Amino acid sequence: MTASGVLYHPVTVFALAMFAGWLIYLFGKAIAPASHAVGGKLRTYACGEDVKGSSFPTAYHLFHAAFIFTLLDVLALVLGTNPGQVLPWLAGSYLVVGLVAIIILFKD
Amino acid sequence: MLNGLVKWARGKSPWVCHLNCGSCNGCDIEIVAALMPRFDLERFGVLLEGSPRHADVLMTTGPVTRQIRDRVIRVYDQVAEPKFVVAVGTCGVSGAPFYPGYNVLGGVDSVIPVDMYVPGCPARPDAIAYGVLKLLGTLDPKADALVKEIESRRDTTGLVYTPSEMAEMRQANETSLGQTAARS
Amino acid sequence: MQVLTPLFHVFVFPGFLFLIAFGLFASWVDRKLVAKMQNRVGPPLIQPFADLIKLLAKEDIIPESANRAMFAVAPLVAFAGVVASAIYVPMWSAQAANSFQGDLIVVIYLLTLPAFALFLGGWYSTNPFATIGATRVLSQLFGYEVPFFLACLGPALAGGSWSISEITAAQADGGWFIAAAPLSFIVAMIALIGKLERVPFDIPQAKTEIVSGPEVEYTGKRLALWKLSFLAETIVASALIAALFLGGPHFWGIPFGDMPAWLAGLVGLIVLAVKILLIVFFLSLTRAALARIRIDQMVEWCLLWLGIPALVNLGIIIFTMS
Repeated sequence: MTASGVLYHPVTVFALAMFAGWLIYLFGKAIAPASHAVGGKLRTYACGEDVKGSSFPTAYHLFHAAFIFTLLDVLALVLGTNPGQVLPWLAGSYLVVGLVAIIILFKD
Repeated sequence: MLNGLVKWARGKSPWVCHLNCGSCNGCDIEIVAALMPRFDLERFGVLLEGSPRHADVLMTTGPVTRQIRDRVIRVYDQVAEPKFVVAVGTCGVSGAPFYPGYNVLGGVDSVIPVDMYVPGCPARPDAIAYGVLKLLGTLDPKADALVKEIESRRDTTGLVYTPSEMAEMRQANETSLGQTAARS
Repeated sequence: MQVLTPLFHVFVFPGFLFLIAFGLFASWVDRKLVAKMQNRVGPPLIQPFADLIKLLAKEDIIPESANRAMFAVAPLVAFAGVVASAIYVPMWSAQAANSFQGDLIVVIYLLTLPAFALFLGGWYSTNPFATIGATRVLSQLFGYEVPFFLACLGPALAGGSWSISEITAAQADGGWFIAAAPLSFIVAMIALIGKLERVPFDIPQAKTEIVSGPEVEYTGKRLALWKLSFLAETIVASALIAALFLGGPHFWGIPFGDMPAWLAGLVGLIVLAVKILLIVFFLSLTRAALARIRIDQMVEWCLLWLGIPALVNLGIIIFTMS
């Protein structure tokens, strides 16, 4: 692999971009006033109330949606793995499966 | 040069967070009116932020009640430096007419430092806008020039008070009260 | 040279500096357009830059109950994901700074990183508002991510390639894929609103109900980096849509082949910038005209009315191509 090949690899580019973001942090640190913890400054913000910072349970339609997400993400990847010479009937049947899944899940 | 840039940026972009310390909602509505298209505070860079962590200017309305005292101090602490406080409305300035009430501690400056007073019941939206601009004028010479221009064009007496003007006025008030008491 | 060119691409153009500069400009265009639509004057051109400097010059606070490492690194990851994806999106000619088979998938997943980072940052700041916001970020992701992916598949199938540069090059004769995949284009535009968390899909931020969602506890430079990430994502995602559906830098009647390389690059960049600003105009229009909807409405509506049209358009492309 050539030097530019290594540098253009997504992982390297990501690392370089992270370094660029860190430069912003450095610049911010250079011009910002130093932080002093006064009073309740470091406490969790909750409109001035005293709350214990903790993670809260999630009771959303999260899992309902997560299921469809997984289904469709896999569907999209399967459809796309070989766009040049994809078999039309195979792709078509995947499409039908995806459509049926959405309709069943949103029937009510 | 970097310092100049930072100073300029601070004067250009005050993000406002609104805090109700026990107001009757009159001044709150006027603050919202000041942010409306008619006055368009965004042309001075003012944005209304939800979180005090994002804000530079804390706009407080109403007198400080016993119930809210600790919360006001906590929220003020949680604003990141550099921070400014604008007390909006006569209640926020002095607590009046609720001041010696059993549940009212007085104006906002009885709990946290205040950088600009905007009296009025309720304070007018243009007075609020002018107060914010005057606060910016203490940071940025260009905003100060704008304030001077406004003052040359219209009468702005009594629209807003800086902390030093407020202290002077209170001093004068106390003296005259003392004289009245001595006479009677 | 071999080392300098990639570094130039990452740090100057089309990466870091260019994204910040153009992102700030696009943000000014957006704010000014919305102001004009509301009959206001609007902020001056320098405003977003002043906001950035001011945020950087503010005190940096990390709440004591937050997970320090996650809280500090999350905005960096979001920003890095966006800047990295800019390398593989054509910005000045049909050829991006670098391309390989499959870079479309890499870019789509890199552009998903800000949402995941926002979730992690919000979740680990352990603030009640931030936690609710973080859950909403993920719920919303389920709504728009799949339609966006499916919409981007349309041009990939029509162009017969997995590389954004090749898909763009396939439109160089003037046959933009918006004609082959009109439904996919509409889906991608609407999913983009969700991706950038703008009105009417600004449900995770929702200033009037949950303060500012996952960003509640962020101040100073970290908040600045969040804002920058989403500004840069506006540019990169718009450029991606322009490259996939609107022919990238191509425009009828501009003879790129006859120009010297530098002029072709400059003209291509200007054409693409105009297309990006048109997409920004669409985003401002929705911001000024619409109101926020509820999270459950958003997810169901997106999966139904974005997912199905995208699939239908895919089906049409597959069967007409074979």
